[in-house]
This record gives sequence, C-alpha cells and structure tokens, in this order.
Amino acid sequence: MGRLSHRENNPNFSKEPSKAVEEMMDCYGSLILRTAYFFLGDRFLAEDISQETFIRAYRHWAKFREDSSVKTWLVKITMNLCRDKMRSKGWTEQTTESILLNKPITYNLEEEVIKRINETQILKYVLGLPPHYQEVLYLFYYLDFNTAEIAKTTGDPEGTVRGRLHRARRLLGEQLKKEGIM
Amino acid sequence: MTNPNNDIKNLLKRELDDTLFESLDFQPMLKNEVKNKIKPIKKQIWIYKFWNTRFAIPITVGAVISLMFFSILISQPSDSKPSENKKINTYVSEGKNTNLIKEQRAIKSWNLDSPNELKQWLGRKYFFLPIHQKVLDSIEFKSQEQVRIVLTK
Repeated sequence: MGRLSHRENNPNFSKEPSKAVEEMMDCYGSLILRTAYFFLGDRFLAEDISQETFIRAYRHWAKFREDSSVKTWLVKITMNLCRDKMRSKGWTEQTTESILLNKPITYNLEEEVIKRINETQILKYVLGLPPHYQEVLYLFYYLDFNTAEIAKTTGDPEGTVRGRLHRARRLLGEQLKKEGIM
Repeated sequence: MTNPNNDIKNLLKRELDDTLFESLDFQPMLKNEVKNKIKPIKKQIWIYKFWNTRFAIPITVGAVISLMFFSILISQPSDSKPSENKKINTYVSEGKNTNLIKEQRAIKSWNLDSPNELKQWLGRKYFFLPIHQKVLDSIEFKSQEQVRIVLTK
C-alpha cells in the first residue's frame, strides 16, 4: 500500500512514442502524480499535471537525447508544469520565486491526514521548512536524485543545489535534535 | 552502525507514503485518459510528418513554378484582336516614303457599282492620315475614276 514500485536505473523504453509513454506511465505514473501533488497540494490539479506530463513526454519523445534518465526528464517536465500552473492566472494560493514556491505549500487535506502528518517524526519538520528546502529534500530523499540530477531538474547550478541541500539538512537536523529524534 | 542519512531517507519515504501519498496512485483510468488524449496528437504528428517528408518539397517547387508562370503571363502585353464593335479605321499612306501600307494592308479593292454604294460603305468613318485624325465630311464623284473625299478635323 502506498509504496512506489517503479523500475529504476533507466529501463529501456520503446522507440515508438505511444508504447514508450505506456511504459513510462507503468514505471513512473505514481511517482509523477505524487511529485505534482507534493508541489501543488491539490489532488485534482496533480492528476491533470501528471497526465499533461505524459502527453508532453509523448510529443517530445523523439527529441529526448538521453543525456539524463527518463525519470529525471519526466520530473523536470512535471516541475515545469507545476511552475506554469502556479504562475498562471487564477492561481492565487501560491506564488513562485526562482524555483518553486515562496510560501509554504497549502494542502487541501482532510483533518485525519493533517493529524497523521503532525504525528510523523520527520515529515512535519520537512513541510515546515521553506519551500526551496522542501523541494531539494523531496528530490534527494524521496526520488533518490543526486545533486547533479537535482540541478538538471531545477535548472540551478549544481553548487547551488549542494549548498541548498546542505542548509536544508542542517535545518532539519537541528529540528530533529531539538526533538531528541537524532 | 546505521547511516543517519539513510535513516532520514527511509523514515521520510515511509512517512510520505503513509500520510501524504496514501492511496495516491496513477490509476488505470488516468492512463486511459492519457491514451485517449494522445490519439488526436498521434494523427496530427503523422500528418505533419507525412507532409513534411513527402509533399513539402514537391509542393514548394510547384508553387514557385506556378508563380513564375503567372507572373510572366500577367506581365505580357495583351495583343487581343479588336472587337467587332470597334470603329474600323482606314489607313492612308502619306506617299511613297512610308511603309505603312506595306505593313498594314488596311486598304482593299472593291468593285463598287454606284456612288451610293461607296457612300454606304464609307458611311462616317475615321480616316487616319499620318499624325492627324480626320473625319469624313463628304464624297464627290467627279468621274468614273475620280472621287473627291473631303475630310474635316
């Protein structure tokens, strides 16, 4: 229940775009949906964004240069779509800065889920960090990206990503120490 | 001894999966929607590729040739024949020095039976003498061979 079961290490996808997209949806569908949800905090929007991600992947599959993994490429598309969505008219809940958000993510969550998040040991602190730290921690810990992959995904220099990750982990560590978890 | 980084990673993953992402999966319904949305794009891409690869060059060449053909056709002066309603002009030479008669045989010979017939034939026609345009005023018949034609400006 709830665990991702995508194949790792850049599986070979078909050269035929529609077949490749089907394979990508099987491999990374849930991962993409969750990534969109993590950044947007809205399930329906996340579904739209994840679908749009695969449609874009279909359109550009022939141009995919394989200089990054398919997973990195798909996450990059997703994040760009999330940014576009947040910049678009009518999206007033959150604004964007250089990368993603400059306000804490507002989730449309049921009270039950909020209660469970508050009972978590790490997640509640991660979600309390500034958005650019949340983003880097999510990509690093949840998606298993290295700093180079995070840099490719966000479009930031790798040094910036490394610095941001270092600060995020330090902030998180301080919180965890305070709580006596670490 | 465990790596604290891995501990954080595993714990954070588990907490995300169990709380925020619980039951958040890319359902077959979403997959089918994507497939349906892809179908029209598939056609568009196919048409685009088809035209690009097979027809783009021949169509461009054809268009250029047709443009050239029509531009030549339009730039040429029209040498259409005058309509029947146009006035018939008669060209009369100025003398032996002109080549007008040789070039444009406007004067023809007829056997006319009577002066009236000549009058009828001439009617009120325009005579083009070199340079000046004259209008037939009257015709006088001096004898069988001599006819006097009076022209006015």
